[in-house]
Amino acid sequence: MKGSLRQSMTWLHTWSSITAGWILFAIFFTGTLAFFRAEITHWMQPELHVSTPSENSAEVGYQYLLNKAPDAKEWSISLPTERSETVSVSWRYGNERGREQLFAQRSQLDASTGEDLAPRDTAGGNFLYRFHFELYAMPRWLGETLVGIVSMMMLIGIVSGVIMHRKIFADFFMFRPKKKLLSWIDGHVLASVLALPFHLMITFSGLLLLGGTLLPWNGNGGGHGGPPEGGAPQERGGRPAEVVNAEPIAPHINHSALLAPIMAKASAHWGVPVDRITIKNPGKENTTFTVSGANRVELSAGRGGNSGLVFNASGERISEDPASTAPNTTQAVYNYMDMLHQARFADSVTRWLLFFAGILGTLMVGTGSILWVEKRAKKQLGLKGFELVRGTNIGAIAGLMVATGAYFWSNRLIPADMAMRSDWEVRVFFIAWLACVIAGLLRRDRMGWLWQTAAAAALFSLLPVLDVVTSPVGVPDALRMVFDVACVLIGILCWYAVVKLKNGGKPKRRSAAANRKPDADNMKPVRPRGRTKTEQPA
Amino acid sequence: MNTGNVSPATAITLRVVIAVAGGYAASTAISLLFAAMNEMSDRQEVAFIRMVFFLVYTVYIIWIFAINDLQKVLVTGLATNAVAWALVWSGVFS
Amino acid sequence: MMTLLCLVLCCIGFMHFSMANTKHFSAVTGKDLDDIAYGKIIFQVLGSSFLLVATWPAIAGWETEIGLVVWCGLMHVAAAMVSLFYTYLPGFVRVCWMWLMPGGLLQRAIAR
Repeated sequence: MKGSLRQSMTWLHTWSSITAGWILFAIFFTGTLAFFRAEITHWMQPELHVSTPSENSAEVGYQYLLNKAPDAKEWSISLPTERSETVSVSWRYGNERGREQLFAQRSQLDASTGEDLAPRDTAGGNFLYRFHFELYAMPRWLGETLVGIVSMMMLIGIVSGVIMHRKIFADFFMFRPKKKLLSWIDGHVLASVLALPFHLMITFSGLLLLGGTLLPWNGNGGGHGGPPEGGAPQERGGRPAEVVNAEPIAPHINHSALLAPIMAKASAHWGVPVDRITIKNPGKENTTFTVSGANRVELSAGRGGNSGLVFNASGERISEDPASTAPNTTQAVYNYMDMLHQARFADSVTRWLLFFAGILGTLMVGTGSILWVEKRAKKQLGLKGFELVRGTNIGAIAGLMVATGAYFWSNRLIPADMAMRSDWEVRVFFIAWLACVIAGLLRRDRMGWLWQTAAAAALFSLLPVLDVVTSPVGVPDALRMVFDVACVLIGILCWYAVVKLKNGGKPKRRSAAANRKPDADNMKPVRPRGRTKTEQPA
Repeated sequence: MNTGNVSPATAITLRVVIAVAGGYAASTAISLLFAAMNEMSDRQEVAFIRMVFFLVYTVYIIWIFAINDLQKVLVTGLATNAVAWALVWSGVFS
Repeated sequence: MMTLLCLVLCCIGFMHFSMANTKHFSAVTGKDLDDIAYGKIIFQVLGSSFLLVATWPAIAGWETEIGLVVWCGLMHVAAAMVSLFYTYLPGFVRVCWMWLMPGGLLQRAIAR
């Protein structure tokens, strides 16, 4: 385009970002929340809150399976972990190739008593997670394609943003708000630059994950969940077909006493606790126990990166399912990016770090859209197109947060036994969002922002209170705490925005100390020197 | 072709089309080329092509927008595609 | 523990980097960076060194592949913290630099 590289990149940055801005904000926001998908789903199933992990959680699961499905060919017991408070059991009668039961049945149990907790019907964190990459109420290929296009625009936005702002790295820490409150451009630049490695990684890896849909001519990727991962898949059952009826009826051997020593041996071997036990042919002499734990240290292996240990019916270790490793560098790199994006490997610290970076990314997109409007406000006020963008901005950004808050609130307020309640929770989300978009179009000024941001702030910051009041267990467990804390943080950010909106950008009186600083406050953050009218004839 | 008289709107549209559509096509060809240059298993190839594609596509779009002259943009778009696809179809690398 | 160590090292690294910038330097110390021989380079090298050393506790805590992710994540946090310190706690930055940071101590030793 005519003009310097900086001007071209500014144009490209502005237009690729703003056009994608609203969907992108939704993707970023739901994606960041989806890092805590398991915690959200747990929070949204209060019936599960009564469960507390205990030393004999494994035995409790075993006992349930013994009563419920003694003839099953395979049992699986998932123990409470850092991200789950209940025992999840599943059982399967046929093998994978048998007709009887292709899908395992499952239950969630109280980890201390083994009671079958029947959690309320809810989409939980999975709604947000799926929305993040395939949106809603449209064929999967369409949703993924839209998300993919928008993600590509984001990648272009980031790269062009870096090129146009090359000098930023010299003045990097230089952000000095004139008033004590950040200006929109300060916020935008900060949020972008501070987590730049993350933004690049998450966008690029996101594109890779959608590669199956975006590059239909390329192999058999097959959309989400079907990327080519490295290593041989771990064997999980799949024995040759056995004739079920011909076995003589033998008394069921209760192996529950073996569980504790087996788990102890495995966790001693790895240094981490066991999180899952799969029992094949339970109750027989040839029963085998395959245990796995959170012992992943590699991301390049992809999803098969944990190693498992196999024990026999006498409690002796008979083999080790090694962790698969990537067969070549290409797949190692690919898997690394895949795993990074989905954070399946992440422990508490890592997950919070990713969440922090995700929040910065969400802020980056949100402040960008707001900045675009602010910059053009003087010149374009009153023009239809501009007013449309200005109004929709409110609903797309603040309104989305209100909708998410409403979704969480509806989970506790809609009766647990109401029919189709999970559909209703999702409806509440969309109705709230639509209402906010309409409200934003009607009230397009600062007050419109103020109302919706304040509503979002209230919804989020009061969630812990709602949690305590509407859960059968008052005091939150660790998982609920994660959710409650994350929501409070989001609430605080919203309140900060409310304060900023109330002050209306008038500079506060400088404190005496600020006046004494040598030259500090006169240094403006670097801005692109281009004109506001960034349309350039090509 | 005198592109000096083209209206700004048309010019930008043209540029966007070349960057997005031309870029997609060219990136496809280039990734296929790179993949053909190396021996690799099917799974590896799918992963490889995905990574190369998005890298190339990003660079391509940035490049198209960095070029000042619209005429150069047209030429670049056509030329890159012509060369890349010719190489792919000629099977020189497989 | 390793987390904290990594974070602190990253913060120190970024603080050195920012001091390699003339405007920051004068804002914090009141002196001119150009007066210090090779000041800019030294601070940048020190900054990079601290950031590199910060990978050690991260890898020690998490093994290489995940450790590097943690290191990156903590760099984001450290960058945010250092930026906020400059804005809201400039006095704290001054004290840190003059008394605690190798760069600052070096500066006081060199500049005469």
